[in-house]
Amino acid sequence: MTTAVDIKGLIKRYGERAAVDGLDLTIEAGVVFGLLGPNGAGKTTTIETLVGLRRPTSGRVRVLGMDPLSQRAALQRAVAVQPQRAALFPNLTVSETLRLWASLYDHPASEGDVLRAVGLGGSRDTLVRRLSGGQERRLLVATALIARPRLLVLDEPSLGLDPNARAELWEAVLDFRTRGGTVLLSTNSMEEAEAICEHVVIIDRGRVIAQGSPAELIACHAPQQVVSYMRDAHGVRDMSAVPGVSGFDMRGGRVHVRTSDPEAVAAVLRSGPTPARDVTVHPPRLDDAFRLLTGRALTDRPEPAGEAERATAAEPARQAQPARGPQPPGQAQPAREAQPAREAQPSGRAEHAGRAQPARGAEAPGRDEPSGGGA
Amino acid sequence: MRPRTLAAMTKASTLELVRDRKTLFYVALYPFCLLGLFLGMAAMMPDRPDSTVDLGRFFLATGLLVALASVAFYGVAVPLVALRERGTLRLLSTTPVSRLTVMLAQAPARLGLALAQTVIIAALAAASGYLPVERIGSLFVTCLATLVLLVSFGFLLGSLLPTAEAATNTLTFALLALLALAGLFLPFDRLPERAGDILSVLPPGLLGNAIQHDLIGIPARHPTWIAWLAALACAAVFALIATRTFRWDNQRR
Repeated sequence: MTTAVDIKGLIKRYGERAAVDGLDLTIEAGVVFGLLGPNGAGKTTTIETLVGLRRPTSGRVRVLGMDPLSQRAALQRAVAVQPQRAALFPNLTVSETLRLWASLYDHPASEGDVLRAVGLGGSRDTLVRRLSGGQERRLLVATALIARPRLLVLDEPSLGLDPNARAELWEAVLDFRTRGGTVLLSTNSMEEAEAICEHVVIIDRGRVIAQGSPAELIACHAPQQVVSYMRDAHGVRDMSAVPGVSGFDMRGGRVHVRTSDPEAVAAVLRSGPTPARDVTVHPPRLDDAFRLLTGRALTDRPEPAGEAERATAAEPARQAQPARGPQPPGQAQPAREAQPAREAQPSGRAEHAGRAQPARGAEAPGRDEPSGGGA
Repeated sequence: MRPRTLAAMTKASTLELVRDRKTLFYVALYPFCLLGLFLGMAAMMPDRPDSTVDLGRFFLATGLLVALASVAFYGVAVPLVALRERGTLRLLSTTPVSRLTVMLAQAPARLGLALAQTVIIAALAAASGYLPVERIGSLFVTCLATLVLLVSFGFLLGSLLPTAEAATNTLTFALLALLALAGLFLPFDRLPERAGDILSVLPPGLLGNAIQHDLIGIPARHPTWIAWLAALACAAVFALIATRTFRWDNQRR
């Protein structure tokens, strides 16, 4: 397998602040590779450096064997980019935009194929300025796809897309990979990383903190199952004595207990005069791995390690602490559409993992919530 | 530079200009609004037997320079800055398109617009009996030289200015300064003699006088070809600086 991207010791500083701090990265050709990390982790800086939009402070960057700065002209023909901060010509139609971009390359893809791939076939004659944010984002991806590049670089491509549009986009990305292309995408969506990335690197504060396939990361860093239940007037129940429990955290009104023995936890939750509501058990996800690796949720703002509020399983908070900040709607639930949760205890109505909130833009910072051990 | 890319970029640039009503107003109609205002004022002024200035005639030349400057400033510089500010140039910088292609693609639509404006104002001058027929050819060369100079200056400012708002403000001032330096705001013979002499040999002064000479038959202070050469020399300098200062992105690398 050949190497598409090779980064060694990349450092990018803005004044005193290091946005990327000694990053090493190797991406093999022919895969969908995800850069996963919270806002400010250094994903965009890394991407912009490897496509030549930024000059590294130090380190070695090679993309398809080329130096992004000294061989930029050759690189521009082989790499197509959808930067996070970019805009198209507002007064061109979708079709005119794609024809313009097609004219920049020797062997562009067909306009119709690309439009179908990103689900914009019906907006062919719409002016760019009349597109919704999500449609414009898809058109940006289309301008990258029409180049038929060897490497497709997408910086948070599904930001602001509705679930259907996101699914179409993922399909287009996977189709590109099937045709032999390499994809590098940054995301702060666990769902996206799990759905389409074959290899994921988790970046935090400009450094790689873990890498592997999503399954490997989960198996390695979040091997336990999670039992979640709706927080109620009883607050957080004391699970310290329950066998197998290693910790818990609270997100969006639900308590998530990490355990190697979910049935034991479920039994405790079922007991007592007021059983816990909406108890679900689901396998660990990349989200859990990320929390355990970084001590915070993916969309939290970066903060120095160790500052995330924690408690050990042996010393659980007896009562739920009220969140100190406002809680935005749509806070992510761990259960996913793709992986229905097993219901541990029927609680009067059917419970499905499909209630997961996919809108990651609205995902709430979870660091104000108490969490317990196991990290 | 690929002809196919240049053609597509030219088409895109033209459509952007034509479909952006605000820009189109400032580029195509604003000069005629000003000209109408000036001519209206001139028409309302009572005739004075001792007056040596025909204001209507004078303002035709002013209107022509405003039209050419509007094409260069509001039709080239401001859109270029806006494209950078929005991130469109940033996106283009990740593609194989060259900066020369981006800049050249602006030319045909602006040139066509400037030509149309020149024809309209020349027709007005001819209808008023001011246009010396034998100067028509020279008038179009003078206008072309003026446009080349102003467009290269527009590219230079478009390469340097950070925001479209800053560009609009700067260029509004630049337009007034241009009219003053060209002697089309206040005739040089109304200035102190020394100041008039100095201003008349600067490129704007040379071009202003050439436009007046070709359009409304005012006597030339210098041969017209000197104005053409001065314009092209300055344009070459501005273009050279513009290609060096051109930035795809407002962000530091």
